[in-house]
Amino acid sequence: MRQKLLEKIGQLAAEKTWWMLLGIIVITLIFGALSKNLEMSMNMTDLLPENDPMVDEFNYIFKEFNGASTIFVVVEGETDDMIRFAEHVTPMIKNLDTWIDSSASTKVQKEHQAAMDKVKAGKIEFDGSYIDRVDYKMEVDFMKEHGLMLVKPKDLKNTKEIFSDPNLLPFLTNLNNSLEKEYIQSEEKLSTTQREQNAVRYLDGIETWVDEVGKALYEPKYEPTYAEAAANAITIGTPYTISPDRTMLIIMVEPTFNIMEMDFVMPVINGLEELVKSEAPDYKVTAGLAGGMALGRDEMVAGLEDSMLLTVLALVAVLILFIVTFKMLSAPLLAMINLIIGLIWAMGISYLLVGTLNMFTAMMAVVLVGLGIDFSIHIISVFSELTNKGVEAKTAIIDTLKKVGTGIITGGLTTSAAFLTLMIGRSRGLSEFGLVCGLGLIILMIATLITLPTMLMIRERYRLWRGKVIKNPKDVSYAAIGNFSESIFKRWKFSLITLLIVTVFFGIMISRVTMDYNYLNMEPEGLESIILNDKVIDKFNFSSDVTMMTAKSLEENYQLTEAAKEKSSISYVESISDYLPTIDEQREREEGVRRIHDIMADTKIQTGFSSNDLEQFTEQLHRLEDNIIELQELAYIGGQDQVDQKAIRLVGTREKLNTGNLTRLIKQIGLVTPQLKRYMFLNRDFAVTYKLLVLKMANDTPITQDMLPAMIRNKFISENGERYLITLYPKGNVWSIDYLEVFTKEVLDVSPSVSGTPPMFYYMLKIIGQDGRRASILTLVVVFLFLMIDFRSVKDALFAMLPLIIALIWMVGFMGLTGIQFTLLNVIAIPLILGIGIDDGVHVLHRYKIEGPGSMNVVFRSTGKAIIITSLTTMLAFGSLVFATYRGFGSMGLALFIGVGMCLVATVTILPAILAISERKNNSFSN
Amino acid sequence: MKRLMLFCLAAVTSLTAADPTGAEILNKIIDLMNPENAKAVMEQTIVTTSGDKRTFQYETYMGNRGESSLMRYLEPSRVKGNAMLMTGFSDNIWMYNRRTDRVRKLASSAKNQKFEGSDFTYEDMGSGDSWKEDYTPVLKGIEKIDREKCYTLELQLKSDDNSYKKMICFARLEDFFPIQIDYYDENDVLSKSLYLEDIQTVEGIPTPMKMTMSNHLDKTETVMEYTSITYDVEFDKYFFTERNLKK
Repeated sequence: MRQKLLEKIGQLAAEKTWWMLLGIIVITLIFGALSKNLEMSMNMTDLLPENDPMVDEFNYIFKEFNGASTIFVVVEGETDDMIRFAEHVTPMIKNLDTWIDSSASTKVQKEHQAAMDKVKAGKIEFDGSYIDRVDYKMEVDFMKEHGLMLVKPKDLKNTKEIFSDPNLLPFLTNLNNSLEKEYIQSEEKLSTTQREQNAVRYLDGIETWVDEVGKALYEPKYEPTYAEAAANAITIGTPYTISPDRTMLIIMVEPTFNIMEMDFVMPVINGLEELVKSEAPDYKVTAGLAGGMALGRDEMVAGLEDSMLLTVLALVAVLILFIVTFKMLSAPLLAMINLIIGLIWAMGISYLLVGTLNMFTAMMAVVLVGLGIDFSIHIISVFSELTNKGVEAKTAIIDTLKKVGTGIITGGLTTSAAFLTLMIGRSRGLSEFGLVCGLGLIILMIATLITLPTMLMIRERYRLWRGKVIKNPKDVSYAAIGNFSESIFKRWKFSLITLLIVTVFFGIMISRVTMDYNYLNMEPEGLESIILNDKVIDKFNFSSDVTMMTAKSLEENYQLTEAAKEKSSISYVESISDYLPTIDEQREREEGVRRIHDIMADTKIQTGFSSNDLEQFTEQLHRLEDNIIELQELAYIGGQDQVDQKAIRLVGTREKLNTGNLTRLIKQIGLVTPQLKRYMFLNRDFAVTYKLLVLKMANDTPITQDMLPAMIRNKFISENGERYLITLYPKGNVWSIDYLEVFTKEVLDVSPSVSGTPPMFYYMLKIIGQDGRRASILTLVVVFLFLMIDFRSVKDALFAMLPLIIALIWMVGFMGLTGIQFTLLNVIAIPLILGIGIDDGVHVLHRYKIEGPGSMNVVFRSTGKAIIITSLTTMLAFGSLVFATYRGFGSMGLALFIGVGMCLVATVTILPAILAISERKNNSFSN
Repeated sequence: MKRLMLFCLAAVTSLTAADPTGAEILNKIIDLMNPENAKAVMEQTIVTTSGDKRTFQYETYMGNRGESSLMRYLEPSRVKGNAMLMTGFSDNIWMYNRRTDRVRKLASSAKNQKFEGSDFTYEDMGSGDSWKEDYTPVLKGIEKIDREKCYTLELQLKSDDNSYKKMICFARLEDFFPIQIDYYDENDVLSKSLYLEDIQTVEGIPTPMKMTMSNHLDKTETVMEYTSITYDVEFDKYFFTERNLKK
């Protein structure tokens, strides 16, 4: 059946050459048109199983919370400059569409136009604006009106003293009392990350208060704004998201689309980046983008570049090898054209199968180049051998297909089957990779069997037309490899012992192989989004790779928020509970808030002052310094770096006493006593502002959902009003598996229904690990079944598999010896090697069966040459991945390079020795 | 069958009347872990919230079989001279700060909190013989830990006023010295393990020169090591007092 089919193809190629060519062109045009629609997505959700609850939750959050895919604009510079920049650039970001239309680069405008064209054509939906919301500053008015209702009763109990008297001296005394109660006598207050952050905010308010008091007492001209700023700092704090060391500011941009909508991601991320970078120099700051969407853009650009560049690189490398080994130019060129046609067909089919290439399937072309060229090598090798012998072209092509066609089909199907086993995986990324590569290889094999004979016939006709004669035949076999294998065959005992020693050595080396679990080591080096994310972690102690969950009621929202705040791996929890406590919570707080209001309302602003007031005030400043020193040293011993660093800004350290603002102010008071008049002014303006602020904040009117500012409602309440969004900011780098494991465990402990990059990534790793193991076992079984069908003998099938198993031991052992680590991507190499590596042994054994006993030299001289060339082409194709900017692909390419190389070495060394034993025992491999 | 019966018999008789009871083992453990008095120099390394490692060296004095202890920081210079006093098996904790020259008493709730950024709590540091009152010891059997045969002693919490619901001590058969203690939190989840390593006999008393507390939930660990230790030391009755903190 196979033979007849192959003969028919040969006849058609020889007799209906031009019709065949026309057919190939038509099919290629159709698949080419289809392949143009093939899109690329580097999203993690594309790698997870379909209908996965975590992905569903992710999609729900996107739909109901207007994107919920924050882009972080990271600004660095002096505090005032950063604030001026934020105030300037935020309105421009809100109207990004307009800015892109008028001021963006041509590239961004083209991307924008392309997206809008798709919108007009009804292909994608658009909200009418790219940007939904820009959060760069707290809703101060809301805080001023309801601030104290948002403080927990326990915290209010410890801090209520500071709201009991607005005059400077009692205020400072009360502040000290509160500080001692809150932090100094209770280390618990710093025990979780959330508490540490609260302490930092508390100290930040004190820092501004000290700065403003200093200005009020010593600036040449007194301004009431100093006192007002001091009062605001201690009650509201800075409304901006500024790092504790005040060198970084974050603007959070919420787009109207999600990371999956790449048509919008490209113009918006590129446009936003252009906007902030072009405006930043005017304000003496630097600005860049971080967050999942920015990283997604960076990954996609790198992935696209890799995919195209590496495919070309692999093609060129294989072509050069081809020309060098066959010493011909035209045939290899035809093979390349055939390969490109095959790739176009495979990509067209891929579009029909999956529509979009993901992080894994993007490398399909490189894989197919490496494996697909093998089919051409076999055909060209035999065809040129026959034509060189003077066989007429038509007969030569039919004979060629009959001789090598079945081998190509068997080899192609075995390798395809290995890829297709990956489809059992739950990970969509891996299963699609298996499907695309498995079917792609079959398509490529069909394309080769149809196209290459046709093109070889056209070449022969051209040669005849040009009157070229067939050159004298020459021996193109590899004598050296034949002789080498024969010597192993003859000295089989020595060879086997040597191979055993080598295998044991590599087997021991396996224990040295380690796994690199850091996904960032898979990413391209020097991506700005990654660098900025690291800086954000460093400065703010949180990562921009957020995790989200939703609650169905305010009560549930409150419970989840509180539970999350207790987790040590979570830095910061953002939810509506910060602005809208539950009714019960509010009831509990009402009385305390009312009391504060009443006490403050009864207070009087001090009018008469004496030097004694100033002295007592200075004493309290000393006490404040002592309190902060103790807090700082407790934080230093406890390893709470942010509190330590923040406190250092106020009180310095033992070695650098005068670096702290508070210490310097106290020293200045010691050197130059401030004017009593200044103290009086300060007290008056501070007390008036502070009293008004506290009275306003101590508003016991219950907060309702309607009272919330629109920005807060949009951020935390779903469009259908049924769910509340809780956002969890990880404390560390989620791309490090050790931290990710702890973080995911803690997040899942809070709620099993979570979503976002970190838990999805963790989940994906687990699935890929399981998939890899299952696929490896299944591949072994499938390969074994193919071999059994092929050889019709269990023993022979086992013989054929032995070099493959040994090669795997050598490969992993070699990795251990040279310190090459397994990575999250190159573990996939194992099942692939099982499918690819078996071919060498199969070809040798087939040839041996034909040639018979004592033919070791002949077998390896001829077939050995073919497996060397096919292995080298495969190694070159996979080896080209080493140059990928995506370092994960590089690690995969290197592992495959080593694996295919080891399979080749194992085949040419182990098989002759095994066959020697087999011959001696007159085993089934003999005729 | 005969072999199986012999095995079962051996398993049953592995805990014979000759073996000590749980209470006896606990008494031995507490005696070994809480010598009358001790003076030592220790090093402790913690991991800060930024992921950096920070090593502290301090001299420590333990008296009244673990009832009282006093620690004074030697390194690094930023905290040199700061000291801490614990009495009543860590029920009372005072801190002294050299730079401000002030002594502060920590809230009683501090007992269950992390001891200075480490994976130890104050309670882990100075529980003394309070285990006898707080836990019921149950001998669960004998098993091998690090190639050493150990008694497996489970300490079950009597009331709820302790941070650990259960503890399992693995004490060496030869001298009852515990080489591993597993701590289970209120949800009965293994939260921490203390490994007592490099056990040397100092002045006739087995002493773990290295103690590693491994936190299984946070995936962190804290190592404490003795640089020097002596048990031949006497303290006057005022030694473990607030006044002595400032010296």
